[in-house]
Amino acid sequence: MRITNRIMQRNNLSNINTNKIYQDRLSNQMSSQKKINRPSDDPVVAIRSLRLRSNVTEITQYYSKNILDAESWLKVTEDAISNLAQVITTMLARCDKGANTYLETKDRKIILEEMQGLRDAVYSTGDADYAGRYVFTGYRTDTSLSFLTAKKQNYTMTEQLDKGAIDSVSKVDVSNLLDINSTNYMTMNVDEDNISSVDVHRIRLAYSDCSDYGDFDKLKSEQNALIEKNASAINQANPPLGYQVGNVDLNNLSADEETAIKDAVNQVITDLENANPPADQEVIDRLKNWQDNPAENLKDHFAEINNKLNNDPNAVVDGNRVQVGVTPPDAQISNDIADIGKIVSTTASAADWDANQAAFNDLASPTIQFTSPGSATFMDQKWGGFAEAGGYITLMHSYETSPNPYAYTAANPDAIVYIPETGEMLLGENRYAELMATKDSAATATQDEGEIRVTYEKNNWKKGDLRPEHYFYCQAEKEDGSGEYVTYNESYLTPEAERQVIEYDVGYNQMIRINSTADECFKHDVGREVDDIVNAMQDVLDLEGVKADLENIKQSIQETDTAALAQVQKQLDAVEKALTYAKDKEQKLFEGGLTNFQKNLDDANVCVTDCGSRGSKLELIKNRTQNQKTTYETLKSENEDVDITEVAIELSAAELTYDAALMAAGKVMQSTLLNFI
Amino acid sequence: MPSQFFGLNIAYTGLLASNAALNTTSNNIANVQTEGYSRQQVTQQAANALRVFQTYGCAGAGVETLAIERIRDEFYDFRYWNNNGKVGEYGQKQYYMKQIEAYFDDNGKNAGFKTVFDQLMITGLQEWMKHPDDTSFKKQFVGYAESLTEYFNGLAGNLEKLQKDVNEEIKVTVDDINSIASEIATLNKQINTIEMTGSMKANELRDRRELLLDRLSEYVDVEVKETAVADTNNMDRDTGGSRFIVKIAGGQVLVDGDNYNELECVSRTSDQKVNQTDIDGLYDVYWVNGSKFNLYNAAMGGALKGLVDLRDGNNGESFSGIVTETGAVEVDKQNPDGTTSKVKHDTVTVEVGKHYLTDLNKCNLSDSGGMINLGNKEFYYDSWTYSVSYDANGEPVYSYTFTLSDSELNKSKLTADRVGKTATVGTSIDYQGVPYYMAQMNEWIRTFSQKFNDILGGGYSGDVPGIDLFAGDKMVTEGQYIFDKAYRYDQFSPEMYNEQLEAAIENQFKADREAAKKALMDQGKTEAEAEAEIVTQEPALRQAAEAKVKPNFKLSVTVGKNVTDNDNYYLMTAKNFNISSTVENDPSRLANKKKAEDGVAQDDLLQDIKDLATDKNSMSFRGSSASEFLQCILGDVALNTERAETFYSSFKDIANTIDLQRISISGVDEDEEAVNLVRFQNGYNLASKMIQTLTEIYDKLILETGV
Repeated sequence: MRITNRIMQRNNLSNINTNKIYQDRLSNQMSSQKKINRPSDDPVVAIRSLRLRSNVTEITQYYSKNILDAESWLKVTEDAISNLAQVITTMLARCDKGANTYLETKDRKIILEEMQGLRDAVYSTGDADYAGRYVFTGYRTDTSLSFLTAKKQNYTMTEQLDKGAIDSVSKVDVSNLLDINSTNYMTMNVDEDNISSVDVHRIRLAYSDCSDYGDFDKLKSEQNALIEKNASAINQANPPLGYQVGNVDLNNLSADEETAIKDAVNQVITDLENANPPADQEVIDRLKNWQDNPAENLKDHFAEINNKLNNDPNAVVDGNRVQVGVTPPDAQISNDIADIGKIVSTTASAADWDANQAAFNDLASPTIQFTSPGSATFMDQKWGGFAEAGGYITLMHSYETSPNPYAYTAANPDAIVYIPETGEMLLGENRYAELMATKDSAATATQDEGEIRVTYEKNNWKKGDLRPEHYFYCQAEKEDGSGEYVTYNESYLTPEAERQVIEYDVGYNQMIRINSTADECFKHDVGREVDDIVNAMQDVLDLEGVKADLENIKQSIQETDTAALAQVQKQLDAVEKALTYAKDKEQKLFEGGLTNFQKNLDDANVCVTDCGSRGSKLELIKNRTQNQKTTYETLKSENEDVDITEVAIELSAAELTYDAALMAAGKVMQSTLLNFI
Repeated sequence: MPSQFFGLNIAYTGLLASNAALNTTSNNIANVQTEGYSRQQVTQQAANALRVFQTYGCAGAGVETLAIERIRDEFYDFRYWNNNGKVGEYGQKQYYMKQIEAYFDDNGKNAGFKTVFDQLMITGLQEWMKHPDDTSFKKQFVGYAESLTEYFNGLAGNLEKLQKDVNEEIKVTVDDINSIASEIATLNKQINTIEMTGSMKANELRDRRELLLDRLSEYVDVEVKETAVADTNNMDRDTGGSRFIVKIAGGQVLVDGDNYNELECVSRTSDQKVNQTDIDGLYDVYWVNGSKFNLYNAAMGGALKGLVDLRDGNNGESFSGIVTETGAVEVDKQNPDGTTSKVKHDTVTVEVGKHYLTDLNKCNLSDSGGMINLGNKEFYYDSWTYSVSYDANGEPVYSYTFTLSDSELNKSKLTADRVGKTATVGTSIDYQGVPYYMAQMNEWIRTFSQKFNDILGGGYSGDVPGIDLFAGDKMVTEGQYIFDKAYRYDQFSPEMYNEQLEAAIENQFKADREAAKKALMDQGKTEAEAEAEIVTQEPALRQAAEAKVKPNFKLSVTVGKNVTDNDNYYLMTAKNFNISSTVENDPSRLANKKKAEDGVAQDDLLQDIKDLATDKNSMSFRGSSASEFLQCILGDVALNTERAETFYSSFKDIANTIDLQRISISGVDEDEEAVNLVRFQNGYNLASKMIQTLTEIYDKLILETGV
């Protein structure tokens, strides 16, 4: 090939340029410390480095932020629960003292105050917060665990219990002992036989001072007035009977009574037969044959006839209402309370009665739901509604005395008594037996058929009351005054119930639970147990007060006044008996408290342990994350950073090559043949 | 016996020849650095001998100088030009791809997609997850989301700018082609003028012409043909003239002898827009005589091809389908006086099957009217409707119905014979240019926004239902699009189809029933009679209603000029991608939980958002997860850049090699010329010496011999 000078020059130039490009790349690497300057230098490295950079960002987020936050949160939780454990330990010590030593009045007073103070301490510990967020309240970190001020807000809550929640309570009936004082002791007759103590089964609800359904007492008295009104009308119409309708004993009708009823029924039959158009023949036939039925079915028999009559447009003159029937012996209220054989023309009364019943139905009364043994479906039985509205539950107040709710329940095996003031559901023997028979079925893994649900209302909240939305399925009135309701924790009633677990991402696909929820350690029964103990102690203190008063009176009485002495002595004996009962109850409660607080302490310790184990798990994750972080950073560096030694050597080599190329070019371009001719 | 003075004559020819050679050498040396210069050489031959009728035969008559010729091998020129097209094409590609690469790059120094997205979906989201209801963290998250939208806005702006630059460069290139064409035509004329006068060669002019072709071949592929001009009267005569033809872009004649065709760039009007993402005023190239210069010719090469690929490259994903139906539709027309009147517009329905058309998120069809080609006839369209229906097997059938423009734009009428023809919009260009990257960004943005907004919309903040985070700004008027459920084309499904079909049939049935009843009453029947009769006809009416409604029933959204409602995600692009102004003003509206009654620290919704970033099942973009967007795109960009660079440097090397081979033949070598100089000087000296010698001989002969 013919080589011209130009070719040599161009080749040289091109070689120098190639060297320059190489040198430029190396010096770029040297100064930027990166293997590549642009993605197209090496697409594989560029794309891999995107992924690695992302990994480093993510792992740094976990390592330097999320893990630290999770640690702080766990620490706050752990501290709060440790405090709680201390408080409960103190409570245990007090119960131990109460249960195992003889208490003077002043000791009792001190313990009482201490217990009340400890109770408040328990729940204020639960209001612990981390950076302005409450830590024990699940997802509701903006809501305190307990009410911070007293508040009026309506809640309807459903407690989910099991038969373990049914305990027994004893009630000491102190008759009128507490009313005795130095001025009236002579007129106060106390019968020692009236001092008694009963034990009944109860479910202690989470709250006391529950809703007493405002209008209940008013409606009840209206109902009584209506019954009264009807009863007097009947008695006026049937002077020979001479008894109150409410007292007819169907099982033991006297000959007179039977005749009276027969006459009355015949009167009705005549009226119905003469009615134009005549009444339903079936009704008349049944009335004629009333005696064919056994006495115990008479009530139902009449009730059925009443229904028919009331629904038969032809049977009654407009506006009037025929009531055939008798009042059952237990004075249970239902709409077959009535005249025997009378057309009661008190239109207003009938309408009032209906309105009264409707108002009872409108009261959102408490219910108990549970699964009866052998039932395949959950909650197929419901003891809902007030007895006054045809339900099962009797509302009684704790201050009622004749009989008191406890005595009433003890006497009636089918009773379910709701005492709003103390937040107790008392169960008659039969009801108790029925509830105790519930049990979880092995056949359905996801459902708890042994569950007993109690639904009730509460309006009034004291400072320190635990907020129900952290514990139960409930419907709460909104605080904005709109009258609308919010439903909380709907899932608790379903098998899909999930706890409000807050988890932080602390690694790739690694989450750690950072919160403990109130229902694991801050439980209602701590406070309720304290309430029971405090109340029992207060009862003893009150009786001791009366006893001291009576002893003072006794001192002041002249020895000659034997009548007064005898009266006071009789009263003292009664007080002594009552004190025996009350102290016995107190003792039992202290012992119960020992067991119960121990259980709570165990729960708290489990929570502390749980926090601790999560903390150590976090520590492990932290170490691992640190390693991962280092690994990714190394990988990233290996991928995109240059090996400085290697580049330095290459750069020196490149410089050498460049110099050589320059020298060659210089030589070649220096001379031509022309220089030599 | 020749003349005694014959020798002097011979010596004279020697002097002449040496002189010519010396001059040529001088010329060569003078042009040693001239670009495109071919070395010249004197061709000479021994002059015809004189027959002297002597026993020793003929007597040499000296030397004859034939011509001064350049030394050049055209074979290398052709090779050089062929190769130079590739150099031009990849030169442009590597230049612009480097820019695109810089726009997309994310190297930790400039914040690219990955940095911005990780900020949003790792830093922002993780902090938010720890404080689900805290407005300050929501605000931070919204701030990061804004960085994401701004990133895309900026990227779209950069790519638009780049498309504009490329477009301008196309114009510059076309202008340069014109000027080269005119110069070549002039040179052709001059060359012929010189060469037709005799056997002379216009060496310098030819060199210049080839130099121009070197330049032209970089812009566009060239094909050169030179044929001798024959004398029709005497075919054997060499006229010396030649016809020089230059064809470009796959055989289109640019220069023919001393004539040349001029090209011109014409901006597309807004009615001729091809891609949704195209900027206004892209150039189409025409011959000045009016016929179209096919920019998309497969045989085209050179810088022009590189530029067109970059400007219009759609990875072969242009609209195409089969026309299934033509029809007409009544459209409201805005009159200048503010009133509206009904005008009939033709419609054409095109069934499509390509994945980038069946999924509207991937589509890049103009949203403001354009041109559609129906079996080689072009029509303007105002708007199009994307429709889905389901066949008996529940398989989807996708079609686009174009509403053609009025007769002002469409001079020829749409005829039914277009059915069955192929419909295309734009050209399929198998290169990943600006429209491709834009379409990719749009697809990601639309899919991501749909999924993201759906998650938020299904949740609550406090007890307030969540609202969209990502929105699209309206470009012409103020405000943002509100994407109504009815236009959620991404949620079209057989269930939705059946449900709406039932409703439509029911409506039709009710209307028909009412009409039939009215007809009966008009015949004099009482209402009761009419009602009784209608009841008996009900099954038939229902069947008729179904037959009327069902064949044409489709789920659809419409996009285009004069479309007022139909706000749908297709209108969301990288350019107008933004944060919902409501959320921007009040970040607390961001939902964080799925149930209103759950507590404030509930973050179940945020878990879904987290999955959206990294879980392919939540969102899939080109078979990868949302966060891998840049991996996919940067893969394309980096590979295209790398390829362009590799090709560029290898074609450049080849060009260099060919050029060296050319130089090897045509180049002036200084040593060689030095030798020549000595050689020709010696020749000249000898010839002079000869004359001197003869002078002495004549001196002897005339003055001394026989005197």
